[in-house]
Amino acid sequence: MDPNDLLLARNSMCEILDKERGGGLDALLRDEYWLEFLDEDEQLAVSSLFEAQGQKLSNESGIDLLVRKKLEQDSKPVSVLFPSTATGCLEASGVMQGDRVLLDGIIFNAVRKQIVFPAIDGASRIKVFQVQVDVGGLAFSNVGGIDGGVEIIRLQGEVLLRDCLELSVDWNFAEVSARRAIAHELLAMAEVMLEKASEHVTERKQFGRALGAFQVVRNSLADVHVAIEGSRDMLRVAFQEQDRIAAMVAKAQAGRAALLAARHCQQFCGAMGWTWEFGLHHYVRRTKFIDSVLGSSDSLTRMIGKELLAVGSAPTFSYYMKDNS
Amino acid sequence: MSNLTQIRNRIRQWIETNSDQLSELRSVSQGQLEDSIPKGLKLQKLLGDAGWIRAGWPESVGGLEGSILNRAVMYDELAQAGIAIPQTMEFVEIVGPMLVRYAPHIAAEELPLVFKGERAWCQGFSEPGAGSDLAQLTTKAIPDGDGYRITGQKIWTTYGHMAQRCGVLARTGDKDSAHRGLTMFWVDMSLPGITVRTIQAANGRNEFCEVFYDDVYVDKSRVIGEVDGGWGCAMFLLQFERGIYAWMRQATLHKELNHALKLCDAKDAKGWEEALGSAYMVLATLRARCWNTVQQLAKGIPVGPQASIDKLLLGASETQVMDVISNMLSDYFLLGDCIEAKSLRDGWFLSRAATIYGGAAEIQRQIIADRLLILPRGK
Repeated sequence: MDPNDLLLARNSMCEILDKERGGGLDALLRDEYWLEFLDEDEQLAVSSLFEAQGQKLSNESGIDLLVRKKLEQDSKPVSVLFPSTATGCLEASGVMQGDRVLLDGIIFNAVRKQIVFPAIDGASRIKVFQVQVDVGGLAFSNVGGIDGGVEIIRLQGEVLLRDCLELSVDWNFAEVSARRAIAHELLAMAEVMLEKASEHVTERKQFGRALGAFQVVRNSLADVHVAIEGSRDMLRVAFQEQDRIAAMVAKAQAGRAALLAARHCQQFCGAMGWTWEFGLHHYVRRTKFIDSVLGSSDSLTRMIGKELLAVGSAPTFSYYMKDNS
Repeated sequence: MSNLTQIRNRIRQWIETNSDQLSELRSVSQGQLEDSIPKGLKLQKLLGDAGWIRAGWPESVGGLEGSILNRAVMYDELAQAGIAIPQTMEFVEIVGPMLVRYAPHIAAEELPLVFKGERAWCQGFSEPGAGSDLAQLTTKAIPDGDGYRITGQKIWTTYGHMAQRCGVLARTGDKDSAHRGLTMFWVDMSLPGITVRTIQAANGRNEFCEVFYDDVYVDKSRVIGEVDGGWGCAMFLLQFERGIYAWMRQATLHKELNHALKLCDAKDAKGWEEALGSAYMVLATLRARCWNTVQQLAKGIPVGPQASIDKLLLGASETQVMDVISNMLSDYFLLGDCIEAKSLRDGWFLSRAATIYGGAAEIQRQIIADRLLILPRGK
């Protein structure tokens, strides 16, 4: 993927996201042929949309439409129930227990007629189900939480297994796409925060020189740049490999890069950076929240370690066997 | 099927066919360098005879043409088969391209010997007074008739006592010429006036040397590139240190991690999942990054300051991977006395140097700050 192509597509997405959306982001993306774009070039479609989202701190997310498309549910009136580390289980938003399923997860943008959710059973297998929102036993709450700028709804409750329809779809397939998408959103925010920090340390002077001339500041911001660029390289592999571990690594690395950017940006922007007006906190809030969806960088890191131990080897990605791009 | 897939399959086939011979040469980098380097040269010869290390070099130097990517595939496959890459190959990959580009007549003499496992190289850059601040080096090369007389002292010359030739950076300009007055010379280590003294590293091995040059005469045909153009040669060489050398290292680190995962049991590993996940993540990221850089090198596209990102990822991978291995196998690592335990300790200590050699991590960060982030500079 050419960096120039990404830049152009990203600018294009930013313009699209600025448009009026009477019918919500879902309708807007459909009208702008984003689903067709996704079919044509997933890497470009996903990276440009989600980086634009991150840059603009969009209040709605394309993650719901993306996952529905991957689960072949995009033309139905469904909303996806996403697992978040915040709600306790990073693999599924439903836990199967006997004849019932316990639900706790996050819905993006709006609640439609049905919910589609991944549920984990006693043998740690993931199955995907669909249930009517008016089935009873479900509590929906609009979430403010840490990030008041994002439209999310929390769903908690219990349903009977017999009221759920099992879908023969591949959650793993959708999860890989979703993790890559979130990684791009995190990277865009990391870049914004690095840019803010760089501007500040260039202008702000103390002890007769710009803050950015001090080695500790330069070294720390260089580390942020390395984390971001390394994540970009890993994301490229994750798109080529279509592999669960590659996507986990890419998302976890992007989350780390964004959290590192947040930490150093806050530190070097000093008291000014800690004010509401400075605006850094918006990116910090979004980073903390979106990092948690489908597994925070910390929990994914542990999960990767566990998998390596279970398998007894460290996989090497063989993307170079495919056409170079 | 892609060309690289075909090459991979052929190498795997070759490794299997030659498994008996290879099993004797499997752990060539273990033990003292005085043992490991000659063993490594045997493996190097085997790889040269089979053609694998000749891929990507021009025919004029005994190569088989093709791409550096073919050799990259080879390193991956050797590591995945648990075969240690000969230590001497590190310098072939780092220094070789510079010879081909700036001194093809020297490359044509040297590489055929390298492919036969009869030649080891080293690099004479750092000095006691010029490490990170390399441009201040003072080893001088004074013109004398049809050549130059080199006088000075180099330090940290890796494998210096086991090498026959050295790429020496010396000053041909005046004392204030900094990086503009440097020339790269190809020096025969058996010349009169050269004294090599080994330096024992923290791991107990003679990893490097001090080399004293006392009025050593080298013919002008041994100048690499242009007189006073040595810095450019060094910068050209560094791209390969960042690219293909890092690729070799990621292959080896995957091998080490795989080996450790096979050796350790659930009890050993308990509590180390996060460190393991973290080490694997940075290693996988390094691999992704290096492959991109090696592709650039294959296309002849100059790798600029972005290479500092590769170098920092390499340092982080070396430290984190070796740390987690030492922790997962702590019984062995701390208390073991067999050759494998010693080898693990050697490798762990070597990983402490990974953020120091070839351009310290602080310098890489400085390059990123200056040239990529364009941050303000000091007074």
